[in-house]
Amino acid sequence: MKALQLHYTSCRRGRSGGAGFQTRACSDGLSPEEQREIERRSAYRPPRDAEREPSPEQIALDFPRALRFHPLSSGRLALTLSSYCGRDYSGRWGNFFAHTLVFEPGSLGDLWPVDLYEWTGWKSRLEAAEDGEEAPPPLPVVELAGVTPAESFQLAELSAFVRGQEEGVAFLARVGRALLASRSDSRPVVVRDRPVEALFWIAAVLKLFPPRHARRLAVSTYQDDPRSCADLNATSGETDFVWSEAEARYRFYHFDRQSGLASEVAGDPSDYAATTARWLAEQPERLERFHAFLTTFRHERLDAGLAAALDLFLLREDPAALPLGERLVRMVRFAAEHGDQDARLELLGGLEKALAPGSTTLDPADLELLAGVFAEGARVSAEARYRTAAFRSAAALLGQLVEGRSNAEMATRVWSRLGELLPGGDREIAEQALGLVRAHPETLRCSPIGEVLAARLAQLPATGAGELRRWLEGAGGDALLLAEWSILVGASPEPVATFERYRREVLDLLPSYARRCDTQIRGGLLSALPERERSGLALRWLQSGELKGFEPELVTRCLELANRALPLAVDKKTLAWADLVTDAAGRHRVTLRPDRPRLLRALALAQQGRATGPTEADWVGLASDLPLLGADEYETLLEKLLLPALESIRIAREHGKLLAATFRHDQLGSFLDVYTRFFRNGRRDPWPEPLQAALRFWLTFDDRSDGAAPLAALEMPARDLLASALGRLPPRYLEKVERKVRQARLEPRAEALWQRLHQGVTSARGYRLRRWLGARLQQLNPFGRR
Amino acid sequence: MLTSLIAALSKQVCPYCFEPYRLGQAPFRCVSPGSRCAPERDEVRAAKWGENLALGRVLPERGAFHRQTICPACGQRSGKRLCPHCHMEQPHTVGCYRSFIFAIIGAKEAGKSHYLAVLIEQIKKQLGPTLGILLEPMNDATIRRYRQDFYEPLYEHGSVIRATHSALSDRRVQMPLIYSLTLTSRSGSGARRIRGVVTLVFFDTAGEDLDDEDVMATVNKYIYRADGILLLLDPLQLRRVRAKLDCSVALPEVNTETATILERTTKLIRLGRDLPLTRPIDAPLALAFSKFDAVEGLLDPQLQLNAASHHDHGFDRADFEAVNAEMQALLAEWDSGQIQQAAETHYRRFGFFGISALGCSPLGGGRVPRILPRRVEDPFLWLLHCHGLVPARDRS
Repeated sequence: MKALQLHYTSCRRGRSGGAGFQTRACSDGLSPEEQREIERRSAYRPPRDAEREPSPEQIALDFPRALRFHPLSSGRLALTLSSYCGRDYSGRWGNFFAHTLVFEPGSLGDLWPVDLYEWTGWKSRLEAAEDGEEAPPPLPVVELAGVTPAESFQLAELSAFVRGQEEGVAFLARVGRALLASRSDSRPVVVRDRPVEALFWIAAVLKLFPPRHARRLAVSTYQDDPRSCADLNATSGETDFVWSEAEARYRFYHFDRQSGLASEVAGDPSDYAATTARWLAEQPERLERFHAFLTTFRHERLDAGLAAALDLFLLREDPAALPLGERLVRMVRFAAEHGDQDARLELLGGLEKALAPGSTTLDPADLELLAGVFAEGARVSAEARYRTAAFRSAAALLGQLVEGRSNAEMATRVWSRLGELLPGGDREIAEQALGLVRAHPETLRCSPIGEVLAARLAQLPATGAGELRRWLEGAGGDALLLAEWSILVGASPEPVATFERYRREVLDLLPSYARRCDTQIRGGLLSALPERERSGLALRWLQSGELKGFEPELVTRCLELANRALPLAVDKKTLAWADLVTDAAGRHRVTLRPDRPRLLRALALAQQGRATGPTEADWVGLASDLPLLGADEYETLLEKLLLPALESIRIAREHGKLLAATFRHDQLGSFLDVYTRFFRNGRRDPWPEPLQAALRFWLTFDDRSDGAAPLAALEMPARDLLASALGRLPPRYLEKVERKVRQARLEPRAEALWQRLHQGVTSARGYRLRRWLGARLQQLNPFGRR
Repeated sequence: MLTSLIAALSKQVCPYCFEPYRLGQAPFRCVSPGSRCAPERDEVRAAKWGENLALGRVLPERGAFHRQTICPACGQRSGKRLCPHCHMEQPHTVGCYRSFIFAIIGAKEAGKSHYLAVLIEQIKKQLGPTLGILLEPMNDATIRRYRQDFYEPLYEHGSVIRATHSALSDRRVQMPLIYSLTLTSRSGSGARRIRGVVTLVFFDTAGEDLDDEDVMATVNKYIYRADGILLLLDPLQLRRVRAKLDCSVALPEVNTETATILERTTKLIRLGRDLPLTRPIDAPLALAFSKFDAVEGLLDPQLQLNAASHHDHGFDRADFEAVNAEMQALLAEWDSGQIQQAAETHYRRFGFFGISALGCSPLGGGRVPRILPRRVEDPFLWLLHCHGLVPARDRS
């Protein structure tokens, strides 16, 4: 361990060539930038309340020496001992001597910076005889390999010191905690005490941390300037520090042993500082063991990792002291990130207990971590218990997935990792997954597992995926395979193509599964399709005859889809389609609602000018189908069916049946539109038989009779339409209608109704005018056509 | 309004890093207590001044001149303006009143710190009441530093001030003492009125920082930005004086030649201001021989130098001219005519003074038996007078 040196003081002659404060001499090999940095860390102003003109004895006793350790921008480490030396060569007070050692990084071995405090080679003043007019020679490189760490700061000594201080352990823990906190909030830690005690506090705080960690800190055992503070500082007496609540709360972590002022430090759940402070005071050998333990890890930052390391150490010393929750995770992460293989394996034994069923509930992220750690351990050590633990973690994670506490992405990562790391891993996880699916048969719950399986199968090569699927088929894992299929088809932009591929690549290879789950597979496909394509596919299956082999449930679904897709437009193709649907429905005893083939046929008949059919069943069927149609389709159907049907009916009862079969209360407006057109249609014969049938129906209509109630809403509009139609008739036609009515021998109620209707029509002024004009015209043209 | 306009248009100079800037470019610092607005590390300040402490949040400039800004985090108004280059807090009068930077330079042991300590006390206690000027520190740092580094050792402990550290090792030395100087007068009716306010920035420099051109250019940039330079000359460093005194007085170590410091200073100013050799330097240069009590025995008792100065109603120009002439004669006598030559060649305005901050030599052990300053205010008043801040009083 070699070190370069630098001396800074006020002298007659130094490297500047003149007198005054300057670098007097230094070793070759220090760059000007390093020299400048060291000079900036060398300044020393004694406490203001110190003796202004002290004797050498007073300086030795009362003036704190500043041992400052700080990294240089070059990466080297500088250790400076600044000592007050009273007067300079010119007799002026305020001189100091700063002796700096510069080390290569990593060369300090197991030493804490404070261990060099008692190095005998420190120079603390320039003797008068040395301070001549000649330029001093360069300083030699010093060898520090055999240097003995400062006796005063051995752990045992520090232990005695801390125990000897009032509330020493608690104080040390607070300072240590503040130091850890300061790493993230840039608040330097400052301890004020008497010079010797302050130095010991700094040494004690430093030794709470292993040497490598402690060397990451800039330290000053005496600091008078707050602006150039190190990370950890001690100070004594009156300096430029302001000891106020505001400073202690926001700018520094102040701990003043004289006034009792202390910054508040947020508690750390694992409390590394409290534990190590207690050990330093009560079990220094244990702290030493901990420091040695940490040398096996690649970690040297002062962060939460230290608490994790402490937990690891505790676990190693006492396997029962297993931390749980966050601490467990941090511990595992620490071992995974910073430990070597041996350290990780050592950890596994303890960790295995953490996964004992019911011993703890871990977050998904923790489970993922643990599964990976165990899998790695199992791979390296070939120990079955780690393998089991890995799969137990994976199973727990899948369980959380089913419960909605985890996400499929995480579970897929774990599955993949275990599948890759452990032979047969995929199958073993599949088994775990299968167990869960069996325990949760609800499709919704199984879906995430299917997603994970799908993702994993997609990652595997074809042979691997085939093997896993075959195993699942044999192990009764239909539900899992189906869940996978559901994810596959659900995520596909072209479900039909996906199905075809699935049929080729999976179903053809797994005939038992295909047979058992055909209905669900195709059902899944149907569900994944948009409505229009879904019906088309059902129809295709119907046409191809595939439907015959389907389970009744799927057949029903397909027929419903095919029926729903049947357009109410009469042409050859749709009629054939309708026949197909009707046949299949009949064969499989599926009731179609609405029975669109029936509607289509009624439409066809109506458009051919024939009534919808003579049977009662047909009327009832129509009446039950029409309410199931949408408004648009109902309206279309009225246009195409009702009008031609009304024109073809010559019997009043049939007229009534047609109205009862086609009228929907909720579509009164649409119905009346079509019905009005029936009365107002221009005809060669102004009063044909269908109108006569309508007249007789409404004259004899009694809403109290059986089945008449639904048409009650139509009665008044129908009478108005009849009156209007009769009113438009030429008088001789009206007489003809009246004759027909009289011949029909109506019931008295109908007769009275007709009288009212007739009187209404004939009493109208227009009618009388037309009648008079008709009589005049006949007189003028007695041969005119009657 | 006019002040705002002038402030927005003119360039300011940061009294810490001496970089010029416009107020519109200057950010602010949040002044809320830490409990309301969490302090944070200021990276600019840390890089420039090595100050790693958490400070109030930096509120970015808004591209135009504003007297205040609002912290977006806590909603607090802040008028604490920062230098855009080094993030040091600027005096609150920046942009309102003109700042004058006065550099006190001199060789090691020339008595710069003692001069500054006594000068400030003299202005406060003697000059202020008679001339109607009020000198007040502008910030806590000035109050603290003056008290701790200058006043307490000298006036309270009665001991000499410790050697000033090099600014290379102690950045605190680079921090200026910033004062406001309020100039008042009485109107015809006898009422007191404020004539004007200026900001005074004083720098105390370690003598060794003037021994090297590069060091001067690094840590003493203020010299070429200075509005007035007070060069303290230690007569006890002059060979002829040392020979004449011949051990009757305790002589200090021989230090850097005063003439050399003047040469370096001149060179730094010319380089910094990019002034050709053909143009004289505008900043007035006061060349003051310090510790003049030590050479009293070498002087003719009839000299004006031995008399006390009286600046009751303004700067006593007649006294200045007499002393200036006497000092130049003494320089010639002491074989240091090259200093006068250099001043005449390079500076448009210069004056020679003889002063003593303590009025006596410290006793062995650095004790100061009494403080009897002599003419310490002369060079300072002359510098103020050169800038038109203090009127001259011509004695009849």
